[in-house]
Amino acid sequence: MHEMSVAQNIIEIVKESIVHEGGAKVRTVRLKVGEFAGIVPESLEFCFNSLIDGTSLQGASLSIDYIPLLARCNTCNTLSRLEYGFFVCRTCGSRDIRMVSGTELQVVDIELADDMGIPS
Amino acid sequence: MSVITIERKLLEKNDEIARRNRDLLAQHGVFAINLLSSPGAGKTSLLELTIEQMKGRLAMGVIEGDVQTDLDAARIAAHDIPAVQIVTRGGCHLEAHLIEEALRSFDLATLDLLVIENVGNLVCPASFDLGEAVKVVISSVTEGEDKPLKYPAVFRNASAMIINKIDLLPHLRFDLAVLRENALSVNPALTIFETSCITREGIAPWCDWIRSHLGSVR
Repeated sequence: MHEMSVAQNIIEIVKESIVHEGGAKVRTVRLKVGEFAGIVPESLEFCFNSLIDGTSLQGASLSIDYIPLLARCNTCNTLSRLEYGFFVCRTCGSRDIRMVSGTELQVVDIELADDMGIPS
Repeated sequence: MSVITIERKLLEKNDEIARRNRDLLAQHGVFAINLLSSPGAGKTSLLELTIEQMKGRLAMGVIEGDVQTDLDAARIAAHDIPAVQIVTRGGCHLEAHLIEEALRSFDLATLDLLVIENVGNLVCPASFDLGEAVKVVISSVTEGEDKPLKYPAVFRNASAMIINKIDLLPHLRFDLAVLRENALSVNPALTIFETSCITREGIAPWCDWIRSHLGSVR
């Protein structure tokens, strides 16, 4: 259940990022999560929601872009989507592959609710 | 609607501290191993035999990670080497800041080898760099041949795999070749050892492998 640590990191990054936004409310936090990043999206959302309950971030939601596990084969040079845990080229069966995507774990951007906290 | 672009890695703080740990260990020429396995695979027993084997040849320190109790650190300290226990109190893995703190308890200038025994868990510890030189995973024969396929991240990121408890093979329906094949399909670069902490088979080659890496961090 390391999703709790990851959710804490999201909240820290979000809080640091909105320091100069005059108390604007956060609507959505967009994440990139690789298929091979070892994160269960539902657990991450559950942990995030539990942690922000009763804080200034309450009401914010996560939007997760799930990034497929892709690898380029060093033998036949094709790009294939790997079956989880099977690190072989889907075209020629070679094990000599390099990962192209699927380990991402990052905050992409934060969407603010403009009607809150901004003096009219 | 306004959008603030962030593009920051979620574990960047952990990675930054891990980098500091790695630099500090390298500065002192300490080779660090992050030892991973499920609970009960034999991490501490293997460590005890490793300590015995290394005694008088190199200076070793151990960081023990457990959810609760300091039983393991006591077992290690009984061998007369420096040992620090990290109790995570529910935490399922070690993080770099815990190691940074624990490193303050060692006189790194006097150490050659540091083994960090992670919390017994094949899932969560895989995501957290501690600043180690290599990850080593233990898979014991009582766990079945399919573990590398079920928990690929930890096997994919490891440099070596130790197949432990091989003395039990006559009593089990277990195919060593299948475990090897599964592990190598996840990570073809894995160095594989077969060990028993009862008969001590395989302990010497494992210790030779460690010794062959000692100069690599300086």
